[in-house]
Amino acid sequence: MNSKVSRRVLARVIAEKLVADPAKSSHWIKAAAAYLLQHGMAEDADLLMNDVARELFAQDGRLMVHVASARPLSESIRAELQTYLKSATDAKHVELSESVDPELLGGLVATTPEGELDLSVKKRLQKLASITAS
Amino acid sequence: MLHTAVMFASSSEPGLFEALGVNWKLLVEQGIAFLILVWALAKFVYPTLIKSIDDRRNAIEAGLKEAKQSQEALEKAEAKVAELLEQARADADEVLARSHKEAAVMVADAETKAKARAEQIVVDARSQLAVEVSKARQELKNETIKLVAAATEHVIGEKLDERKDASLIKAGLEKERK
Repeated sequence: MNSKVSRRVLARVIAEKLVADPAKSSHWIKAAAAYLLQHGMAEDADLLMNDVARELFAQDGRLMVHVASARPLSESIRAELQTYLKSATDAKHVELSESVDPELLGGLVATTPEGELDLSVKKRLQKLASITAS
Repeated sequence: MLHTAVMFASSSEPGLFEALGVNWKLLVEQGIAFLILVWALAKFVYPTLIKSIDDRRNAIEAGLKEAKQSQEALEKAEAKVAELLEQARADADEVLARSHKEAAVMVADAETKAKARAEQIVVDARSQLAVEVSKARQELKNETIKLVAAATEHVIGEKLDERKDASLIKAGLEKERK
């Protein structure tokens, strides 16, 4: 990996490797991180992961979703969210990565490679404030 | 004539003239002397005298003519001066009238502009005041909204339990499906 390739090509290759051999996913992720560091592209890590997620969805129908919520998700909420995302995106698999953000006050924010679903109370309050202000 | 007078004197008899004391000889001599005097005057004095008188008369006539011409020129000049004075007076009156008129127009124009300017200042001041009031109201509104939002966040943070949160998420997902 001495020659520099574009971020999208790199994402497509990593996605192909992850789909072909899910057991070595950790290895390929580390290899991608090493490549970014070697070529001074560390600041593109988030963009690369987003591109990889987009490629996984395109190649394998696997939707990578990060969910931030004010409280830890219950099983029922998790299942309902996966069902909704499958129906909304035609994904075969939905993989959730979760984090807790008390500043959201309530609800959740689901971020996919293509967009964001914001059901948080904070967002509703901001919307209310902007409507009232205008 | 001298011969006739001598003959007349010589042929006359003593009579009337002698009785009157007339001396013919003396008379003839005096007549001749007179005639010589008249001739000398006519020959040498009168022409010069008449010429002098004529010259004097011509000079006087020329002087009178010049005086008359000067008088006429003076009268013409006076008339011209009077005409010029009249014209100048008329021009001055016209200029004065025009100046008054223009001054009145300028004053009226200045008054109109000053009035318009004053009105514009008032309008601008009112507009500025309205903008400031609107800005202050908007700022107050924004501050109020922030306070309400902060209070709402605080209340929700305390009141929104896990069950209500789950219900909120489900309602949101249901809304997205629609």
